[in-house]
Amino acid sequence: MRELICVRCEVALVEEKTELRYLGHSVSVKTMKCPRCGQVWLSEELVKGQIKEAEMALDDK
Amino acid sequence: MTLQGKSWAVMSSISRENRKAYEYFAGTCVHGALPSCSAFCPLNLDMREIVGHVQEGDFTAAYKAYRVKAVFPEIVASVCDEPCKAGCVRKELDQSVSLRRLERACVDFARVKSIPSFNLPPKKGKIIVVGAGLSGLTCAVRLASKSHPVTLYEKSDRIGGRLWDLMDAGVFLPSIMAQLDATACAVRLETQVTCLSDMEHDVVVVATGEGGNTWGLLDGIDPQSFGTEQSGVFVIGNIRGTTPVEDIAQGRIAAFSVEKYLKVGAMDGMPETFRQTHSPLVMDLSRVESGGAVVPKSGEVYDEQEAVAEACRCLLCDCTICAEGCEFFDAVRKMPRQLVSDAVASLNTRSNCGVTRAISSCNLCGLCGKICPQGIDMGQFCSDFRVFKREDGLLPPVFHQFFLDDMRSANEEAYLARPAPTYEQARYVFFPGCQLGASDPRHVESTYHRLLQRISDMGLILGCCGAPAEWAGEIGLRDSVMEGLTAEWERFGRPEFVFACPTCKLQFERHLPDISGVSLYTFLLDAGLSGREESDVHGDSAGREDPGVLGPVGQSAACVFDPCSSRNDKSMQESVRRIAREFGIRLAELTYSGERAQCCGWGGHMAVANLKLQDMIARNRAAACPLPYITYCANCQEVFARCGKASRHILDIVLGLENQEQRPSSLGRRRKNRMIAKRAVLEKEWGVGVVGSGDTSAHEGGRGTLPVAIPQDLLAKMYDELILEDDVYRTIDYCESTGDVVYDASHDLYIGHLRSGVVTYWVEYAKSDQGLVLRNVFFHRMEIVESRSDASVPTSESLIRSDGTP
Repeated sequence: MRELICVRCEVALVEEKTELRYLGHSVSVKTMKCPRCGQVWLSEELVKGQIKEAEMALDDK
Repeated sequence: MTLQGKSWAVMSSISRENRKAYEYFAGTCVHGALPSCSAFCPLNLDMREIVGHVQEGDFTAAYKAYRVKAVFPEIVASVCDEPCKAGCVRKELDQSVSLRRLERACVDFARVKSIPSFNLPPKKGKIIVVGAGLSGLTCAVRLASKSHPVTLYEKSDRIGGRLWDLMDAGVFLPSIMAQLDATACAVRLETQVTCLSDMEHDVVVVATGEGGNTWGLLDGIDPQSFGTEQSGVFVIGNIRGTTPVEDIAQGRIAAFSVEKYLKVGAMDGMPETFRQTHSPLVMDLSRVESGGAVVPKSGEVYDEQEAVAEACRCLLCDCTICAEGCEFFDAVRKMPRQLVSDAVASLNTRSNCGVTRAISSCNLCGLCGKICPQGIDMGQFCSDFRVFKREDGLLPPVFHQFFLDDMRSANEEAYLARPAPTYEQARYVFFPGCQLGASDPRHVESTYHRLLQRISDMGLILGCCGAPAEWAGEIGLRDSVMEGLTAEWERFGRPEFVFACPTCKLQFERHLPDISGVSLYTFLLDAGLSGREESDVHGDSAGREDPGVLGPVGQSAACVFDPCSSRNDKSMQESVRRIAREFGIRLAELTYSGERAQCCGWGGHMAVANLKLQDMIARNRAAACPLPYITYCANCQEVFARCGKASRHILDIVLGLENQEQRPSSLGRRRKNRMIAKRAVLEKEWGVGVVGSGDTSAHEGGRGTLPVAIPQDLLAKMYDELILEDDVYRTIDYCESTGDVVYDASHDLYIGHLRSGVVTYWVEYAKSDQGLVLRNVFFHRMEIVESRSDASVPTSESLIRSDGTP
């Protein structure tokens, strides 16, 4: 488990949903976010897994 | 006249302005067409499917496929006189496949033979069939199985007609009864029909057999639908002289004709059900091993193993020439007709339906068009459809963004167009193309120097021909690049172009036919410049000895890997071979070379749309021959270097360049190489020093921050994923300068992201006293909808300061 801290706000990131847009479509994914400034963190696992699958599905839609 | 069946070449109405006409693009494709054996069969049995099942030992599936047209499999397997044998292509090689014995094996070894019933609602229209021989029975059971009310009349006291004289009733009666029992067909035995008009009916099928009553209907019978001149009356079977198998074929076709008549009142039948007697397939047997038919141990019928062995002799004739030459068709799981059909359908729905990825997975190399017996060039189709999809806003920009950026870089900061030193105009212009210098700047620098020694007014243009724009469906952008090159041509006094890159040469030939051009390799030969010159030799490999992977003089052997864009350029292909031979290299030919050259995988820029396919193609090309390759396209050379395939660019050999490292340079290094080439020629030939050359990759030190180190393993990953070093530096710069970064305390890493064009880059890096070390980098295309409290969303554009400098 990663211990993630927003450098600007010096607070720990918390789990929150983030909206992603691609080719005119929107999807919502569970991410880590700074509760103060909203800075987002996405893991490579999420990017190469769920997000890539969604991108490819939307490419082909 | 419709366009269907006309070849692409004569279909002048197919142009980008007439999208609908593309429906006929693969109209002449013969993939899936009737094989010759089936064309000889009166039933047009689908032998490819039937024998395919037997090859797998699935006799039940084979039996079911057989019954679709045979109707009474047990009867056909017994009375068939095997006309298919005359059609089997193996007869030229050894012996025809024993299809009747295989059919018999289907009957003998099928585990399940039950006849499915579909519980269809009863249909209107009373049908009478006169005569319960094979043709009448077939027609009756086919119509009854579709819930038509059918009454079958037979004047004698038994069904089967002439079968009683031909085979064992213990075989044919159960077969017929099984079909009759599965339907509600009424049978009236010992009922002589004397006058058709006396009977209440909507349709009559006359199948009275040899010497039977004709009621004067024989004149004017449609030979395909079996309709007579009298509306609602059909005539089939041995009344007109048929074999038993033809009886079944006619009964089945007539059943379809009757159905059409009942629906729309037409007597002309359903063309797709008519008997076909021609197979358009032409099979190449040159690589087929010969060996006679399997002889059954029992003397007459096969056991299961024998049947499978004999089935395996069948070539399952079909045309798959395009798929044998190119992995594309298997990868997208569509043969030409299917791809065309899906692509055209997707134009109407303005959706992708997977089509965009398919058309973006093609190398656009034209091999399929060259080897297809019908000349169907799916590369042309995919190229045109990329334009359509882009026009419709359905081509994902990310598919080509990297390559368009690369083209822009080649045509901006790395661009150079100069007449030779002290000249205003030129008779010739050397145009190396954007990839030659990126791959190895010495190829540009040394070649130009050599050319200048002999041709003092040889000009130079370093830039891109616009092919990446064409491959991205950006025709307007390609044309603007070519307009720029045309303007330079005019400025230089209309010189002849000397092309190092076969793709550039092809693009000029296609789109700028007024500009004459020659390949560098032909030019070097003609000018006597193709030999090794002392002044050009780099390293210790002086003389004619090849220093690299090809081995010592006189013992070296190699294959010339013709680039796909040289397909129609025999002169270029032959020049490269002549040069190689002059260096004592013995040449072997690849199976696919010359006009059948296969693409190395780079063509068409499929890397983003289908990296898996690109990798597979590259590996397959590298493995096509164990000998080293001689290339003359910088992209082919790059692809083979990345695969670890021993290969040399022909210019390495001509110029005596040391063997390049097999490990590929990074993407950033490629852009940097272009700048190095530009700087080198400017300094060497024009004595011009270059300051602030726009070398955007020279960032190892970071921009006023700590240096950023990128480990080798990450450079390799970045190459695969088309991430430039600059993308990394820019993202880290952003993180460091804004503080928009997350600290991973458990790994002591800093993580941040930056939107750049159509992708978002993520970097993970560590900090030390010596500087920054990249630990990971990746990207996604989706855009994060951020709701930061300061409302600043990181994009590369936000890094541009008010004075316009990054």
